[in-house]
Amino acid sequence: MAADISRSAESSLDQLAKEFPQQVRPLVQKYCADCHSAKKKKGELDLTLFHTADDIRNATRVWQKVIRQLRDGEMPPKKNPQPSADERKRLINWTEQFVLADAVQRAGDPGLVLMRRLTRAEYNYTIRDLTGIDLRPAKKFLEDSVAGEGFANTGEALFMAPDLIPKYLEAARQVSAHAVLTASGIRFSPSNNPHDWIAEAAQRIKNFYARYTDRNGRLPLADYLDTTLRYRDRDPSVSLSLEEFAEQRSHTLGRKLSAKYLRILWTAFNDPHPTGVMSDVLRQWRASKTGAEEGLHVAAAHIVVANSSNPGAGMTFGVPVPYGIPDASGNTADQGFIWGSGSHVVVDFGTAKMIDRVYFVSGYGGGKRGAEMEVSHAAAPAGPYTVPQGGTIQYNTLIGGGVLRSGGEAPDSTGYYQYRFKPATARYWRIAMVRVTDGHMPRTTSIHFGPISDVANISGLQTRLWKINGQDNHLIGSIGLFGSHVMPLDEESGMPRIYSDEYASFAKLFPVAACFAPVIPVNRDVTVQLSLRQDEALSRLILDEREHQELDRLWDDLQYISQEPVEVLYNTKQFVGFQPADRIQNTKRFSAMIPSLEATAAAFLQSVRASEPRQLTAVIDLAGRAWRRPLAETEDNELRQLYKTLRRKQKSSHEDALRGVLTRMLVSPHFLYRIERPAEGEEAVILSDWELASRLSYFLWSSLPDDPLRTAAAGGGLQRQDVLTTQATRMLNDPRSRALAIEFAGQWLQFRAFDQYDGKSESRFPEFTADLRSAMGQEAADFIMEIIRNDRSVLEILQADYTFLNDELAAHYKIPNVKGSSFRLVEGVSQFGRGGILAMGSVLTKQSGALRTSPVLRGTWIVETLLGRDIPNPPDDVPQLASDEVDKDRLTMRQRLERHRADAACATCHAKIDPYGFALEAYDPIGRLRDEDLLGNSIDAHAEQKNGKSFEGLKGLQTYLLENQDEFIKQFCQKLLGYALGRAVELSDEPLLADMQMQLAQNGYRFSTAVLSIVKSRQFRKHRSRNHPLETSL
Amino acid sequence: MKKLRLRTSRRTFLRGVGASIGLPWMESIPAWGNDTMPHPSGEPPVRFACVFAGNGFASKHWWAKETDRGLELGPVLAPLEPHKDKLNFIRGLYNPNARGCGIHSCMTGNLLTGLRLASGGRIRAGVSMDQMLAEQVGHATKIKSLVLGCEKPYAGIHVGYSMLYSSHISWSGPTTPAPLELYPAVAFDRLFGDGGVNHADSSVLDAVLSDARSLRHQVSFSDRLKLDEYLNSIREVERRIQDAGRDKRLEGWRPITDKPTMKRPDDGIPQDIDIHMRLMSDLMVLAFQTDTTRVCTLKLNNDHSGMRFPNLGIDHIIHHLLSHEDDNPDWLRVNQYFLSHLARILKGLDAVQEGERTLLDNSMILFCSSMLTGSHDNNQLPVVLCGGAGGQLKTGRVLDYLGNDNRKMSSLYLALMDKAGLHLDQFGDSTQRLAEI
Repeated sequence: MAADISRSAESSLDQLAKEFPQQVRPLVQKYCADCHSAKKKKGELDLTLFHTADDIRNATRVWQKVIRQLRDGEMPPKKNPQPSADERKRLINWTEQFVLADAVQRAGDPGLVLMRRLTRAEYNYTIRDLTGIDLRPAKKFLEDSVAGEGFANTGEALFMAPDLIPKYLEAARQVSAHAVLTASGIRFSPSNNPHDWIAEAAQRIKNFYARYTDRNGRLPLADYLDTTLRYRDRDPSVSLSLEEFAEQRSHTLGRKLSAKYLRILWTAFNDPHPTGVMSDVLRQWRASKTGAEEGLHVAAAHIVVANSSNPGAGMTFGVPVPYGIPDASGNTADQGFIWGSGSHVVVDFGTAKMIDRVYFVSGYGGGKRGAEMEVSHAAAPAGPYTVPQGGTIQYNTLIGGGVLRSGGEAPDSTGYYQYRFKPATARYWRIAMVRVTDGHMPRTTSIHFGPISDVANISGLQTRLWKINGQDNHLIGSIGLFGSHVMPLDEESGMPRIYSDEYASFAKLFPVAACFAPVIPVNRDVTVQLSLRQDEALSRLILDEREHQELDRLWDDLQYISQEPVEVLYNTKQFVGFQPADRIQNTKRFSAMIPSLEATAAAFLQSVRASEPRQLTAVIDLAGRAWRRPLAETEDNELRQLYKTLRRKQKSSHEDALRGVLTRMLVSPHFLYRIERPAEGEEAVILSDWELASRLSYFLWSSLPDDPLRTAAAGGGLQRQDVLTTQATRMLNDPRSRALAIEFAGQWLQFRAFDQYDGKSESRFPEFTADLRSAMGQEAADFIMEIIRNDRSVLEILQADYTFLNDELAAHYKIPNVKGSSFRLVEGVSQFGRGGILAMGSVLTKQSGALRTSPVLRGTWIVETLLGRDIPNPPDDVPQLASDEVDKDRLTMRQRLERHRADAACATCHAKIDPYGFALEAYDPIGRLRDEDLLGNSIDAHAEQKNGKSFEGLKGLQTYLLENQDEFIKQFCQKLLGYALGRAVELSDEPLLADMQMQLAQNGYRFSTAVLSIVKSRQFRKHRSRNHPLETSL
Repeated sequence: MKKLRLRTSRRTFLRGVGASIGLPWMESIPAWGNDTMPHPSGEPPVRFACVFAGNGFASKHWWAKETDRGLELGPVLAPLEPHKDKLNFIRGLYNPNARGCGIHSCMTGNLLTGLRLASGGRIRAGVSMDQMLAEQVGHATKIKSLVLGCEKPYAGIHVGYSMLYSSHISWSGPTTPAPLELYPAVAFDRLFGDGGVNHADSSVLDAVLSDARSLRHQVSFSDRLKLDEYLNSIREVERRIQDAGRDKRLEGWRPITDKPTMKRPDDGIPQDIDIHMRLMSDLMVLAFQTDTTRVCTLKLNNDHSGMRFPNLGIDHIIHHLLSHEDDNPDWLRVNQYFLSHLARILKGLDAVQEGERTLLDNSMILFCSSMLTGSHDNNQLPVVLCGGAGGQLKTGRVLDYLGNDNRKMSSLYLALMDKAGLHLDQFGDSTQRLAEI
């Protein structure tokens, strides 16, 4: 089909060419050649150069201009002899047909796409996607200028000079300084400081733990227990596995629940023969209801002893800290445990027949205290919980004490409760603090049963904590809290007696903490170790196999980066050296550790060396990404050779040699330039898949291809229309397409880098702050991004009822009800005079003077930028306009400009520009709506065109532009094509542009339509062959 | 016998092969003429600088008159009063290829090249005279030339020409602008440090050079020219590394000191425009004084400049728009402000004694703009030529070329290049140097 068109075009070209000497040239000689001669060259044009039609084919742009001038009646000038209507028509028609036939014949010519260096922006985006970190090393690069259709990604604007090389070298070195060597390869960090890398590796582990635990390493037991209840009580008609249920709950809760743990819990709760504490637990579980005020998480407080450092906070969840062991934040609890509301202890009285009192001895802590205690007992571990029988609760304070339930005063830091009762036959008693009445019950040191005579001396009491003494009037038993169950103490050792069947199964299921979450222990003492790994419980209960391996990898990583085995050895040796002479035992103990530490360190260093080749390979793999194509074998070898050279000749360390290879990779022309190597052949040849992938990613993302795109390229099918469509659609939906909004639309519509605009007087416009500038720039970028991401009609650029605002910009626009500094889509803005590019602060501000509006600037922007019309140059002696609105004559801007337009010479051009600018007069120099200008003249936003038609204000302007939407669409297509190809649009592109416009019209003007047309076109997929005739002339 | 490494070997080779090699900066030179090596002598070398200010000057106040008591300077030039005996005020010169194409960008990019600029989004300007000179005399100094600026380039196309032309007047190749250095610290490092490259980078540079060489055969013809920009840049940097520490001057004159007398400027671009201009001016003087380079171009701002001057209390209007208010007294103040920086440069140069003459006497400082006034009239350009070019330039004159047949800027450039020892038959659009210069 294309060949047919081409053939018919060729024949009509021949036909038309024959007509030129007789029918066309004489007209040119007669009416044009006087001024447009070799000697006079008016307007730089010498039309006598065109002897044959073929000459025209080399300058079709010029002749397009000729057509326009003839058609508009601009040429010949009015005072010169005019061709007859028929002659004019003949001239126009012939030229149009000829130019069109030429374009058709050349249609699809990829054009001269000059090899392009990465622009400054592209360099930054590429590094971001290559390393995963937004390093922005191109800070010191010069701003790029533009060429072609007005974009910086045009080859001609991108040059290289010796003075730029040091900047590229420095940028490359900077990037490689951020490379972190890991056990398996390399990674990049936002920091170039090794200490930060260690912290990052630790943070990755912490983040892993945080998926399942809180910052103290504790599991959200309430959620898990609650889930088991819900599962138990679920609608039986719905068939759902526990795993599926877990996933649903995870979704609802917004945190991941481990299906594995739920399964374990579920099995435990359905155990037909629970023992020990577990029977207690099961009883509670069976009795609990979901959704009730006191759900299981409340009951759970009774199963696992709740523990809170701030008991006043209510039913919080936690686990008591056993005696003497620091808790997760490194604080050593003051001996004993923390006892808060909801806590309970289950006491095993063993064979004791009579209990006189239960003392709760408080430790340290201030404030008033008071509590309601509940004592109940059970005959056997599984028993009812009933109301206490008899006895009184007495609270005796010691040295000040706290508030009594039944009276008594004096706040102090110590005190104890007494509870006097007679036991029933029940061996097991449950004593719970139901509610804290005042302040909180601080930490207790122990619970004692039986009379205690000597309570005067708390510290004395504490020394007897774990001991049993005396007979009458003595302590029957003392307990410590361990985990969530009260253990009787062993008589001899004073240590808690753990009956494996009573406690162990419970402890296994409900560990104090699933992991040591801080990873790096912080305490006041000297530490030999850098990190502490205690996550056995997490692995056992929570993690599946894949996660466990992931966790192991993260720990390997931390070890590797921190070089822990080497550091520990060193630290230990130091530690030994610091031991005082009389601590010979310590010295011996630590010295004994050294041989095994040495062995570990040696093994570690060996594995480090073994990982060196892996890291070199990783760097070379990175080269394949950075150069946007697979490396040739010779290139792979050469990089390895460079590594060797750096190590041997320059005596670099392994790390430095790797960084040298990285630097070299990033200064190579393969990185800095987008290289296309066309084969030899006839007119145009297809690009390789890798080259096409690169064009696609730099078009839509201003960056290198990602993995799915690389896979498509490697698969060899990227030239196919369906594959291209899939990829391009995917890429438009990706957040990285924001680069298209900023680089393409930002340059075309000139809002790019608006936050750096500084053309306004600070004294006249103090409101025009840096934050406001930044907000205006973001509004435009977000708006275009919306059109791209949601594939909206590009006509919305001209008119839309929404925009993007934060509170500051909304206040500037006087749009109410926008709170908060983050940007969001806001609908219904057209009633406030906003919506679309014409009403955006960035455009209105930039196209204004420092003190006043400029209808000429705004009009020119609309006409040239949005509609693509040509505006002739102003003459040399353009008259002056006052810089300020505050004019001594008190005229409005319009009136002053109208004064100038009284001059006919000015009016010819200004009639084509000013009306559009006038329509926006209601917007002041920083884009605010106004009814009056600075002198109090009321705003007149009326626009009157040359042909007599007129419109009013923003709405009128938008209507007008939409009525002429073909011009806008054509301009949009032309600009997008120029941006995609990195060159100026040529006549040979006209058929493609026409097709694009047609496709857009048929598809609701959706943005992706234009992109897909371009991506599938010959111009995009091909390159002029290496020996193309036009290549030899520039 | 010490092996003298002559630069002629390379130049002779190039002369023989001509333009077909495809080295970008060779293309627009049709003939070499009688080029000469800098003669080893006891004489200090001639330095050349171009100082550029955009958008012209206040029409009524840009003048100078010859009187019996020496030059009388108009208000714009008043800051130059202390040095008026060492300058020439030149009227009537223009750049024919900068006319009839529109305004601003197309008038500026070729200010120092004299050729027609490519329009319509294409980039081509020709080699500029400062870079031509740098190629000739730059081999004897640590760096060939310094190209400094105080304002960022603009991205955009203005009336059909890329605004690259408004910010770049130095071109090392017909399509290759010399990059504008905006960072004072980077310029300082290039002059007095290793400029960011040293021996440790050699392996890397060798490797990427061979990347480029093998690529050359695989890309299209036009791409080869772009690749050559890269190739030559790497080669040039490698040459600098090799030459580092080596004094390339032949026997004869030496500067008094090659150490900097100012401290290294802070990193980054100064926020205060006054500080920025001063630092760049001082760097130029220092560079000449230490003979670190003999060619420098300093753009105080761009054509079409958006600069504002809070330090002068003129912050409500940008430079470009102010230039359109010819009668506004603020415009005169801004002009004088720019001239005060030129005066600072002249003062700095004149304070350095080089034998019987001062460094200013040994220099030629070309101060100009791409239009006479803000109304884009470039039928004649504002030109002040300061310094004595080592005694070869008579000063204290007003030279008026308006009405002459030969009043091209390119003709001036031919004459100036002569003074530095580069004798060309043709440059830009001229084949006839100005006799009076």
